[in-house]
Amino acid sequence: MRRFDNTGGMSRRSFLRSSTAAAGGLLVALYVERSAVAAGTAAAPAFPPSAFVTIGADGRIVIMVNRIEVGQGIHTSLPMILADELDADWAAVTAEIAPVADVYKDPILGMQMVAGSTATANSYRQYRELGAKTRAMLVATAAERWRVGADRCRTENSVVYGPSGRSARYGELAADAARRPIPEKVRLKEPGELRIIGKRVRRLDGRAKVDGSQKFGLDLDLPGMKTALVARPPLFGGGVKSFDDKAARAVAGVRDIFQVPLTYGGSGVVVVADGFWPAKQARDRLKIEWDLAGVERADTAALLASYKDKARRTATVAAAIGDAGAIDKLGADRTIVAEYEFPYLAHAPMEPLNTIIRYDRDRAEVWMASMSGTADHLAIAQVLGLPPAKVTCHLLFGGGGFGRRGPLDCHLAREAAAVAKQLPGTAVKLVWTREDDIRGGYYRPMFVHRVQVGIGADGKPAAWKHVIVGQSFMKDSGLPFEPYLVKDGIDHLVVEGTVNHPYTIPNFHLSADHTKVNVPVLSWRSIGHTHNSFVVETMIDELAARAKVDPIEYRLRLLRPEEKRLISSMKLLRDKTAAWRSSLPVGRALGVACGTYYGSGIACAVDVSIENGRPRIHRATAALDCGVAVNPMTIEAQVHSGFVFGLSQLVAGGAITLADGVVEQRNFDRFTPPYMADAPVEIDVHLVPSTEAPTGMGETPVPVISPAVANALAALTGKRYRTLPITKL
Amino acid sequence: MKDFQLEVNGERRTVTVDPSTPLLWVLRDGLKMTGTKYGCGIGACGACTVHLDGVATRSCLVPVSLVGARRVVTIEGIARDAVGAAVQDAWVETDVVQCGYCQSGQIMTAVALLKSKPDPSDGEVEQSMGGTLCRCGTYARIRVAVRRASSRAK
Amino acid sequence: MPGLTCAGCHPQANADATGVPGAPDWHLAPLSMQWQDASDTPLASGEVCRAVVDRSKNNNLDGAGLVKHVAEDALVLWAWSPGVRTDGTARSAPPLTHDAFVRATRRWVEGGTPCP
Repeated sequence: MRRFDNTGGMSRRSFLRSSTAAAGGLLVALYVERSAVAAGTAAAPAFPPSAFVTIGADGRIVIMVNRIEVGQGIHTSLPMILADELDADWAAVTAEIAPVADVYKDPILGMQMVAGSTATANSYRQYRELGAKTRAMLVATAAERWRVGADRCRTENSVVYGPSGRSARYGELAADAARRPIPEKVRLKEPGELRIIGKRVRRLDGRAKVDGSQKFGLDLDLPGMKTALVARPPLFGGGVKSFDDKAARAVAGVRDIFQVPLTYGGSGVVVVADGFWPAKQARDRLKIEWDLAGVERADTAALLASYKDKARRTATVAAAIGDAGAIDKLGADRTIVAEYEFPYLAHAPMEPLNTIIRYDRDRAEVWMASMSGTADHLAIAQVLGLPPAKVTCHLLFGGGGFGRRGPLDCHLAREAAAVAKQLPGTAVKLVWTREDDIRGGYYRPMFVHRVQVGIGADGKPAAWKHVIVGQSFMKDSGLPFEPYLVKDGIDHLVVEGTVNHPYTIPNFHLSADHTKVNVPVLSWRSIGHTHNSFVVETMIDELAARAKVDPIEYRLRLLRPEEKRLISSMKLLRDKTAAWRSSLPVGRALGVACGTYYGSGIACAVDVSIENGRPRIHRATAALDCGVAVNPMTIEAQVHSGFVFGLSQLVAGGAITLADGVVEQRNFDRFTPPYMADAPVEIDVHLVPSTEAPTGMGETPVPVISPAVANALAALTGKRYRTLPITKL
Repeated sequence: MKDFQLEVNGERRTVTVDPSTPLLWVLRDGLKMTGTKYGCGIGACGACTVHLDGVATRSCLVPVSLVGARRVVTIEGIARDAVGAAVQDAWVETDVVQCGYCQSGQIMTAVALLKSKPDPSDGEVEQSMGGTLCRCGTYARIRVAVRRASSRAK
Repeated sequence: MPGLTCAGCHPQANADATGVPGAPDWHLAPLSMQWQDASDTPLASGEVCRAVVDRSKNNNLDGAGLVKHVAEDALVLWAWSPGVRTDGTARSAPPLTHDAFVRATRRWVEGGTPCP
């Protein structure tokens, strides 16, 4: 297969190796000004198409995807974007996940990562230009062969057509095209010219994921590879005092047992064996004496009491609009005071966490489904004491992520590197059992919100005073993102969704108390919106109910005019749900919620009843505006996904609790995320037509579903649900 | 360590393992058949579902010593069954998968359902599929795909 | 339900490595044989006794059939070798031996299955 290649005869592999060599520590703002991205004005570096597109003589087109696929569908959408501008034959397109290399860094974030629903938003223009440049090089090649002007050629379905009925397939042109200079400027298609973008396209990874052939990290089998499991301390930060591994070493297939430092602090004991089962059998037989002296024992019942107490006092101010004292001027009969409780939440992706590293003293090779490839690459190099150029990182398909595969302290990568370093020449797969995962921390933090809302004579909120108490994983993290996200002592990721709520409220005061607790915490799909939107959207619903106004109309009257995408989404929701809302059977109720997340507006309505003491969601309708819908098929899937994931915080068994420092859940027996019966039976998704640049969709649906369901439950029972998960109706 | 003779996807296989080893790890680490997934190890998620003599079984809970002469069919072999192929095709057409990790278990469960109830009611689909966890939340499309496979297989 | 049967998790013998109890044809008793009322409260001993001898509820067993059931049924026998829990500790067995249980059942049947 000849390569479409302009790197002076270098193969893509060697090209990548040299790119990796240049991998530095360049980190730019996670949250850059979104309007710049949307307008396409953000400075885009020049990307060599050869690193992204390979066209074989047989016409096969391989497109490199600069993000890992964890279910979000990016492995199909980014190739669609490139293939559209390339005028490629979609049937000839396959995709590959790019390894860690400078050239694959997100053009806006400056690093490879899956975070903030940024993939399509940040790489839309990049992939379009890559496609257009590649197409221009193919056209120029054909034009030169035919001695005609390039402007007299057109392209369609991987063929260049010239005057007088001449045509040439891309496969015939690719080798020559690769030698041409890369054009600096190319014309991108007008909306009416798009042929693949906007179509319902099935996933490129669909077949491999139904016949068992798709390999995840846990499935990789390298020559001589060993499986490692770590016995972790019962308290976060605890360490090993001593251990007796006699019985463990007696298990057939055990190769080594030693102590390892843990990134969060403290240490554990690692068992290295020929496979998972001997490693687990041996780990179960270790007798470890833990050093837990002085380790803080977090206890969620005690934390709750302390958070509730803190929530009664104004903390660090995040926003103060209008008259801070306005709330006190309204009488008790015109004021609602509400306290909300949110638990720790585990991500629990279906594929247990794992990292494979082979350390060969002067170099190393890594295989991982990392959501922060650049940072993990550097962390591994640091632990191994190697220059980053000597560490090759292959990125893999991940069996779910939701934020868990990109911990900011890179502990998955660091711990695997610490183990591999002890076993030079051997590929080691460090695996987290499900118990390790559920009990392993890095949760969505626990929060308490206290809200006082004063209601004006018009039934609208006249004053809103709000205190948020809970941990920040960004404040004092020392991470390069910190200055962009933590300002004046407030972590935006804790208050997002409330600080920038979409409603007109004349007097608004928000403060937050970022607590320090010995429980490692992390971003969890849609981060701060998970709890903030629950509070805002259930409170707005309560206000609508008190005003005796339809919840959709109430929101439309109260949404700020600049919330254009949200307003258009809400109006679409109103239209699309009109029929079922007006014919709800007895015992069923409507619940509504909405919000703007990651640049996209979403409005949601659910039809809920109570069956066997549990919410039964008969239908969920979503209306949303995410700009150009690159692949409506995967957008719809993301709505399904976001809704079910969002319900994780509502279902009775969804909480992580700690008693005297110990996590009380171990596995899917006591920690139970939504199963089929907990999910909406039917979901219909409606998109606001748009030609604006696409915005985030991976997290957008998550925050709205729980408040929508809680609002429906309130309509059914007359009670307001302010404690998650909802264990009793 | 002991030798065990297994029939996997119609082939005789011999493995030398500790008798306590769950069938899941015999398949994955021993026979290098990684389509069957580890999700929880306690039978709570269904990702490891295989068929033993046609019965959908959570392979993480069955020690290899108790498999005996029962025929093991995994996701790698289910396409040879007409219902298995119909279910896989329906899954692709419906674009069910997201991360895809749980889908081997979902499909093996759906095939067992449709082989015993070719035209299940919505309630029966929910009961049968209701114990297999998907964190990506593909449940609504799973319902559609089971229905599609049901009409296809008839 | 197909796809989610008892045997999907419970093997044909106890799997002590994973703590899952098992026996041939593992299943719950049918609803006709339930010894609890709708709110899960155990029935009085007399009611249990009458349910056990009611051939419309007991799978049509006569006295001899009842003795054979308690003497030989694999799931009944399992109660006297119930295996270990996931944490490795032993499950508790009934407070009398299986032999004593069978002898007592036979005596009760020979006495005409009287109920309190």
